[in-house]
Amino acid sequence: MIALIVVYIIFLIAYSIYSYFALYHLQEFGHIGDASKIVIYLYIIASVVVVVSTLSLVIGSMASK
Amino acid sequence: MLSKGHYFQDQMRDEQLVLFIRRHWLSFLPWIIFIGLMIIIPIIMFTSLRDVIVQSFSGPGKIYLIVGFSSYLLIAFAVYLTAWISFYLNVVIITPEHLVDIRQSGLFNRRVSEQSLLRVQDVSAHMSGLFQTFFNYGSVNVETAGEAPNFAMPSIPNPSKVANTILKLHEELVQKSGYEDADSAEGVGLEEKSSKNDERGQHIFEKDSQVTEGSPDQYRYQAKRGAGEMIRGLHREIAANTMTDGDSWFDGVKIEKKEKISPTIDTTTNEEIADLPSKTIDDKSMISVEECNKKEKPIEEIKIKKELENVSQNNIKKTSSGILPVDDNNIKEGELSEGITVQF
Repeated sequence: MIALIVVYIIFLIAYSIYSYFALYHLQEFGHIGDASKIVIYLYIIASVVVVVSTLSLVIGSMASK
Repeated sequence: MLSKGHYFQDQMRDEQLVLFIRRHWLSFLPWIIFIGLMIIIPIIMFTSLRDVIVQSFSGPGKIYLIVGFSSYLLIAFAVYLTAWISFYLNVVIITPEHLVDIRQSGLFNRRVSEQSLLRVQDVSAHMSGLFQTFFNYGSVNVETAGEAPNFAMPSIPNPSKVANTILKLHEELVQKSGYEDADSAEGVGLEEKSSKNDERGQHIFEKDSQVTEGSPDQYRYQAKRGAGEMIRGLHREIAANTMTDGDSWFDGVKIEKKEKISPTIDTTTNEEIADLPSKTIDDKSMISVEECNKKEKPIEEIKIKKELENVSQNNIKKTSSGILPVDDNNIKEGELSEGITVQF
């Protein structure tokens, strides 16, 4: 179980790095008034929701045992 | 993010935008379908096979299911974001003077191509297939003069309108720049025009220098040609007042042959000079001004005479190349014109 959590954390780190580069591109090369900022915010919100939900469910499952 | 009103790095301050074109949304449709399937398929599977999945991942297996599905969603987000960046940051910008094509492929492959509308030779719009015809989008190809790469803009809306706009801007720029007599933008060809006058070359140089502020190589090419013409003009002027012994000393510039002047300053040998700490120039060994004035001499020759006149006779310095006159008040070391050959 701990191994699964460790793998998931490593995955989250890689995902964060990749997302940083992607959002950097949007921030750097997007144009004023276009949809870049909206997409940045949506992406961050969606990712945070998924990660927080996952962690809460995992912690809840482990606590219920 | 670029400041408001600026759409590409080398945009000039007063350069307005004519067209800002993104690819047609239908060109992103395959990605929309793919990402949609990535999200929908697991949901369908989960709803249809709920009992099986719940039994399989009951107990500790439930955590595996949660982590797996979470990772899957995050990967889908990342794939979607990458595809969207590749689509959304692909832009074609048309200004009254420039054509800019920004290509973004993935995250780490970005190419910005700028082209002067002066160099446009041919523009063609192309639509093929049911979707392109029905939704009025297609590709525009811009052929440019010289070695500059051609522009291909795929999947842009209203391709015929864009092509017409490019051609119209090109014609306006050609008229504005005064290249009407030229075949095309390539008519910056100064080789043929150089015989008319040099002001033309200078004019183009000044104009293109403004264009080249921080702009890429294709503009430097024009400025280079203009600068080349100006330099040729300067060299002609210099050559007219300079003594040479050859037919040509600069590429493309022919000058009249003039008699080489080799004034003899001293007849003393090098060995004798080496033994002497200093030596006085004999008046007779120098070219006298009176003698020179007897016949018509070129300007440079007279200048040399004046220089030699100013040489203090008792103030001579030895150098590796011979004797050069040194006088702090009048002429310093090495100030003699290049045309003088010092012999011993």
